[in-house]
Amino acid sequence: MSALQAEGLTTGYGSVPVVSNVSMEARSGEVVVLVGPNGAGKSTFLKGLFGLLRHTTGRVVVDGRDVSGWPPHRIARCGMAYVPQVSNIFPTMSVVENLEIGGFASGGDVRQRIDEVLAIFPDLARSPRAKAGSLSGGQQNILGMARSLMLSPKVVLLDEPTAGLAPRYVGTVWEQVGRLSTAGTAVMVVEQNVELAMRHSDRVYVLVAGRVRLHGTPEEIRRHDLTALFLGGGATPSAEVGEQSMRSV
Amino acid sequence: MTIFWLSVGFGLVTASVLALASVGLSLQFGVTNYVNFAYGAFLTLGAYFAWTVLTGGHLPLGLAIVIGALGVGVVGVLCDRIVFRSFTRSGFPLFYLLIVSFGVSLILGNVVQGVWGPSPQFFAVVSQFPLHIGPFLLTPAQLVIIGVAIVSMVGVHLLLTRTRLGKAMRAMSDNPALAQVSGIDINRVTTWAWFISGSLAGLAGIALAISTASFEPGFGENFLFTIFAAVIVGGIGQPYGAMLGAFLIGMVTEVSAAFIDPSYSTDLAFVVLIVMLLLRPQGLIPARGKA
Ligand SMILES: Nc1ncnc2c1ncn2[C@@H]1O[C@H](COP(=O)(O)OP(=O)(O)O)[C@@H](O)[C@H]1O
Ligand SMILES: [Mg+2]
Repeated sequence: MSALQAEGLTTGYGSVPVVSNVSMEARSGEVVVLVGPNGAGKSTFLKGLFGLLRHTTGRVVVDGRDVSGWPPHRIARCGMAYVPQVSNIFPTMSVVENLEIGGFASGGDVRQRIDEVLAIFPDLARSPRAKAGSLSGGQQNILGMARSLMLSPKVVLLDEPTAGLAPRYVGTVWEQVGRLSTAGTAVMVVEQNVELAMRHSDRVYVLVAGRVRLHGTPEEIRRHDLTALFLGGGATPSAEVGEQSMRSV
Repeated sequence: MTIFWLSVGFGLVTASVLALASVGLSLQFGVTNYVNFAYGAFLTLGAYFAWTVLTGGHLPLGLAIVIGALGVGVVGVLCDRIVFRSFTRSGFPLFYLLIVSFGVSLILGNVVQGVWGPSPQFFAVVSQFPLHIGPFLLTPAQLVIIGVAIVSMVGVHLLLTRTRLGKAMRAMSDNPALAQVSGIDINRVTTWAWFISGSLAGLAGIALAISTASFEPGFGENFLFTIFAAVIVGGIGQPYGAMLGAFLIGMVTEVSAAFIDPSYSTDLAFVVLIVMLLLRPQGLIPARGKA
């Protein structure tokens, strides 16, 4: 079933929309990847989904509930989690405290869940009392991801989780994405590296200049010239046709 | 030597008052990320609230202090809800809030003038015999001030490290957007921050009024810049830094008063501040979350 559904979302900063009329879906157990050139509005779209930006039009449905217009903390309690591209930890708080905050909405004792999450990320378990801000960039990203799993979410949004990471962390991140989807979680990942994105995803959305230009399975997407699409904003006829044929799939 | 120890004793009292005030200011700044210039007026209100409850209601001093402090906590929440929140919600730059809070300070100052009049008041507890405690000479009231400050600092420490609310406040201070997506209701946390900040301001105002014998409208406002000095020396937005800053500024201003003209003590607080900013601009305890 559909864990996350966005219909005709238009959002941005102030009065100028950055993302226009974008529809996307992530089903339970599915890895959906969002690719597109820099500044296309991928991060903005995720913020809009989570209620961090007001959206002017459209609907967001999480786990069957329409959360359009809800404040972020209530959306979090519906089972959506989000790891921003930057600033994805609480730097003056310890690793364990970061995880406690991740489990904040549960309201109860989260110690057992912290142990479970630390068991998934042995790298973090080694220094549970360390200040998050003192961790390496890679460890910080991993901590951000660990934090997002505290409430066992139905859908996780990851904004460029591997950007600037050492190769061994890139492996860890994709391994976790795979594990989450196997466990039935819907994962929506923004990924710069298109090849990597194709390899790890069930479906791909191509966002250019704030609009979905193309979507489909990695095999379907491979038939298109993404570079031209990225550069030309998708004005080439083949891309237009491609988009229509994908839609009918 | 006696003069020296005497002034260290005064330093402890001033540091205690400053610690209450600085930690309150710092907590609110950490959560909301803008400076509240009405904070001095909060101190003034605390003294007048407690004094009114004490003299008008004939309640015991301890109860008057608690009611006075919590009363200012409520004022803090009201200021936030009625004034500040409407500006933050409509996305005004946080710099504007500085000016707005300055306006609130003027309004509260005038309310105090209008309600209680311009003449000085005093708490009846002031004339007490001093006690010799080690090398110090302190009145029972001063000892109570030091005790209340210590208990409050321990309380704030426990709040920040042991409670859900305190951790939520630290999370918000570090990264408000991430706090929200982690399920923290930042409106609720902000309200609590104003309540706690206001209550500490009220407590500090009462302590200041008791320790300086008399108080009049504007006395809290005059103390505001010393509070700023302590907060900035400690590292703005860092409650533990504020405690350290308060101790440093309190000691320096009082001990120096034993040797140079006491009317320079506020200036000296700023000398400490400037030296500090030159040597360690991030404060004693840097706010890594805001870097
Ligand atoms: N905080 C912001 N305020 C105003 N405009 C922004 C902000 N963040 C991003 N933008 C603008 O929104 C557009 C999309 O940015 P973003 O969503 O970060 O793109 P992407 O994540 O696809 O690289 C860009 O033109 C960028 O300049
Ligand atoms: Mg981005």
